[in-house]
Amino acid sequence: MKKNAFIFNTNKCVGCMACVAGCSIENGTSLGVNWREVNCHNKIKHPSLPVFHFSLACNHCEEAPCMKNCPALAYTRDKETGAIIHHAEACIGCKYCTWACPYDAPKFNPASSIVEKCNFCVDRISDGKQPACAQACPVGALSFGQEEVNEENHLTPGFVNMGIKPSIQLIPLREEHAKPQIENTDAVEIDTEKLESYLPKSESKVTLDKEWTLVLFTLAVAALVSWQIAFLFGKAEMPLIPFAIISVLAIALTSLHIGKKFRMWRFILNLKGSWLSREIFSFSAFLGLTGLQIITENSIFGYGAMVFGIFSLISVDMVYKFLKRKDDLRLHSGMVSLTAILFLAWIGDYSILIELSLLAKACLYVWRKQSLRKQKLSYWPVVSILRLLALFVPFLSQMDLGIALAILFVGEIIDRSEFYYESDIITPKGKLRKYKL
Amino acid sequence: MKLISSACPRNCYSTCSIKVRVENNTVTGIEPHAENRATPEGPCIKGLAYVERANSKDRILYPQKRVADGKYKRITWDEALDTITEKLKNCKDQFGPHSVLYFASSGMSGLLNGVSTSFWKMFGGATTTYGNLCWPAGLEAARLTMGANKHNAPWDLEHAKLIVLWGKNPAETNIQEMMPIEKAQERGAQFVVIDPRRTPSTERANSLFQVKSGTDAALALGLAREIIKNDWIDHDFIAKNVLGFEQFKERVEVYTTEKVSEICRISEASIRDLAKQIGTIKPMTLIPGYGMQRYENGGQTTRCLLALSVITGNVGKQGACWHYANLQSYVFDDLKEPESYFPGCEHPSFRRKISVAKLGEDLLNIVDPEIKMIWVERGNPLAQNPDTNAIRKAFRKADFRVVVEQFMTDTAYEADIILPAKNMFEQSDIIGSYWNPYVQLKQKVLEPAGEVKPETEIYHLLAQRLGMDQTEVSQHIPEPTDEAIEKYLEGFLDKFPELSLAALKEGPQLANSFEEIPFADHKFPTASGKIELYSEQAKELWGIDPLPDYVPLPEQTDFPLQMISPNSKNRIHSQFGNLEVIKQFEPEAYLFVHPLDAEAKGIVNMELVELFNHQAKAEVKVQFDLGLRRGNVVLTNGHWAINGAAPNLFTEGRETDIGHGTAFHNTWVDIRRITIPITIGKEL
Repeated sequence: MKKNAFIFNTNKCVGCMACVAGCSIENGTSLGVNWREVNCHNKIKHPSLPVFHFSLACNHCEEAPCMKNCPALAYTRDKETGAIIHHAEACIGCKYCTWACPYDAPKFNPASSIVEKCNFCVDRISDGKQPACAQACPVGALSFGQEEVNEENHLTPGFVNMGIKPSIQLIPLREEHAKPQIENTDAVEIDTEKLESYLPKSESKVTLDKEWTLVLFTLAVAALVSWQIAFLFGKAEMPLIPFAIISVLAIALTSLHIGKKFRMWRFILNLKGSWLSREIFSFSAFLGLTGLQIITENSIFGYGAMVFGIFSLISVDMVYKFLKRKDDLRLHSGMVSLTAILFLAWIGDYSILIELSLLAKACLYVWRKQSLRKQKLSYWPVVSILRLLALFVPFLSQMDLGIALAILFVGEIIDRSEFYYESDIITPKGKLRKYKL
Repeated sequence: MKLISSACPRNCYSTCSIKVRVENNTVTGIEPHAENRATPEGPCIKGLAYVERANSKDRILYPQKRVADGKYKRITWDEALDTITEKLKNCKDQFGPHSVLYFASSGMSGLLNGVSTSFWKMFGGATTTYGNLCWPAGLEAARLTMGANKHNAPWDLEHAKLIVLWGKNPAETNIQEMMPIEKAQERGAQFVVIDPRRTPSTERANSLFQVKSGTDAALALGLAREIIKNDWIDHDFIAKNVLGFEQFKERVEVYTTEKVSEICRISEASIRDLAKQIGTIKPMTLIPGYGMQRYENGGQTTRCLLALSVITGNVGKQGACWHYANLQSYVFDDLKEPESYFPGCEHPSFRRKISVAKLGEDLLNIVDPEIKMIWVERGNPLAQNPDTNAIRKAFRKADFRVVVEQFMTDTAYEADIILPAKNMFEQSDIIGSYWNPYVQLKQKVLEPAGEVKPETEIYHLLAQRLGMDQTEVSQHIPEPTDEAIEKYLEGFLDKFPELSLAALKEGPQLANSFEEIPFADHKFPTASGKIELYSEQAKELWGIDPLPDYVPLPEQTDFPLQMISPNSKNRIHSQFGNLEVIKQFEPEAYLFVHPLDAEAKGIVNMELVELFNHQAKAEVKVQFDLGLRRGNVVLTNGHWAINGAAPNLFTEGRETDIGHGTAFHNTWVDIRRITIPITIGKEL
């Protein structure tokens, strides 16, 4: 089926940046917040690899993950043109779409505190014109038209292929462009390890210094839910005041993460599609019902709260499913569901559960570090030992439950922080970095 | 909203036709102009950046007077012009008109630039410059050999079966040329590049011959020897059209593949392979760049390269030409480049000239009279001419400096008075191109911003104040009205009935003299009427060998790294680099160095180092580049010294062997780690 699509010919693009400038001038974007980017492969000019570019903006995918996952329903599809439109007035600036999109199309603008992105120049194409970027290309490498998109070409090495039907006709490099033949009798072989050291460090889109609030928030969810369950089954006390304080702190932590705090209510608009909506909704319901449970001392509210609490734990873990793990593992010691089970076991003093969850966590943790080590990725053995000690010390020594929980919590902070540190988003740049002939 | 046809008047091959989008007397967009067959898809990033350039808050909109070092104050036009008039009168009365240096460069092309020359003539003359910073060695080499500088239309390139790109990087400097190259490749053409660097253009090539910089002539002669030895030459073409083939054949005898491989540092097999391609694949278009002739041996090098096109008969045919410079659109010039650059060819009042390549040195040394006042327009000599520190010293030695500028450039900062310059949207003018064949109108689309006055108007006002003869003024300087400007331009068009101002307002036009494939008639306007591989004139005019030859560059011992300063996509010489839209892609100058050269000095990627030679030192960030030949470093052209490292701090004032060009690439430097802080750009 034909649809509006960008047509990008890798043989013609020389990386001149006119498309980026054309877009930013036409759309009046802020400096440094470019909706289109030219991603260069082999910028350092490794002698046995070609240098080529992918000029990419939003691909207006048929299965657009930004739209599906936006908790605030800030994205719609324009029926006439197929353009995925981001609505500034609906965006809460949670940046979740910047994680969900593997093409790095949604851009967070710190000046406006919301996300923005390419809109296919919807007004221009509705008028029969080319999008500004395509018009600006001085060599005809980037164009636009009604295309029967050849999805096989999305398998081109170095191109992000997630099977979400991006509207881009990608014309791959011809054979003669793929392997440079360089004559130079003074050229010296440089070993791969040394070459790698010349490469600029890749910048992770998920970094601990940006996401520390999420570390604390997600652990707070685990702590509150496990506490509430233990309370429900009579294994612990849950006074209103401390509960309320922790709840408020948790909510404050999430709000730190979003750009438009007065639109926070929009978080729960996309229960149908977004795990983030589900997380926020179920956690809010959990807090409300737990409050009622404490005040009314009616266990019906407690059971309701528990259901929402468990669902919020699942949601939290599901929210992070886009993250690309450096260790490529699906199961994780840093998952909040596991953390909640560990906390519950301790607070409720279910000794079997303590042993099982401890064992599960420790095994998963060691497995993960081993896997990083195999890939020669950095990790800090001292931190890892601390993390494991925080798991075993409370178990092996007799101590007050409060102290035990505090030590456990520190361990969980380490684990969860490492989880963020070791995670990244799939991006065209990252993909091109990995591409080798 | 209006869309107005115009053209980009920068010193650039492409000379794109564009459509300017104007809303409320503001430029809001630059769009492609499909009627130009050479640039149908529109301009490069710099062309798009005109939106910012035209509306930039940094633009100079009012006359300025220097109040302290680097500090300027707005003054009225009356004050500015009165001061200038008084200085001009004083200089003329006390020291004679030649105590004034009139310096103009290639910042904006157009026929109206002739008004400036007319003014200085009426003033009684002035000291001016001869030569050119860019391409004269190659122009003169081609003129001596073929009699004229013209080549096939840019779109003819797609018919070539072999494209040899020699020292040019069109992907960055002539981006639309990549289109016919790609078309030719789609049709199965071979595309080879000879360049010490790996560039975005070389990425498209079948092979890259990464020769030692400055040795191109040796390679060309070695290739010629192979081609002759294997009898791949075009006997018929040579017999009918070439003078001096036998002597040339003898000349190349010593350039064995073994010797050439040693000189150029590429393998013998690769030389034989390239020779076979050039000898056997027809038609071939050879595209030499301007970079490889910016060496002291640039003219002879170009003659050697050109010989390859000649002996294989790749001249004057579809898909076959010597693709160096195409001056076909310069129909209004009585004297074409490069001859117009030579001293002695001009009006007697300009007989006193100094070398553009040795501007600093000559300015400092010239006496009787010394230079007392300097006038600069359309140029930024402190950034663009060799040996910045000498030029700065010479500028400061003069008593008074006027700079006509749009932005606070290195040169503007030397001025006593800055006059706000028009931009390309504020006055109509006719321009040609040295690549595409069109005559074009760069059209006025809006009224000048602030108090900007075009140079024609500035000179008009100065002429009044100086009390110049009214009749003479009215003959040579148009009144400051749009009608008078158009009438002035129409004066040039009278001789060309096919070129009307009305048609030029709609888009690019071809003059009747345009030939899609020049030299097809095998008529060569040389002394002998033949292609002169042997040129008596070369010897007479320039004292060089009448035959093409390889002249090695001087051996270097003091500074081990040869620095070349090629143009990049982000600037035309020193223009555009100050704009935000450009700066986001190149925020500062980088020195590109091969990692092994850097590591030998303990320097890591992106480290701030000291770059130095006998002339200057500056701090610059190193960027590793595995695509460079070891021993070469690259600092791209056009950086401003006020921002840090700029190539011309390090280049010597040196002319090329022929044509009065500038040997920018005869530059050797060294780098070291920074131990103690240094001051940027200061003399040693």
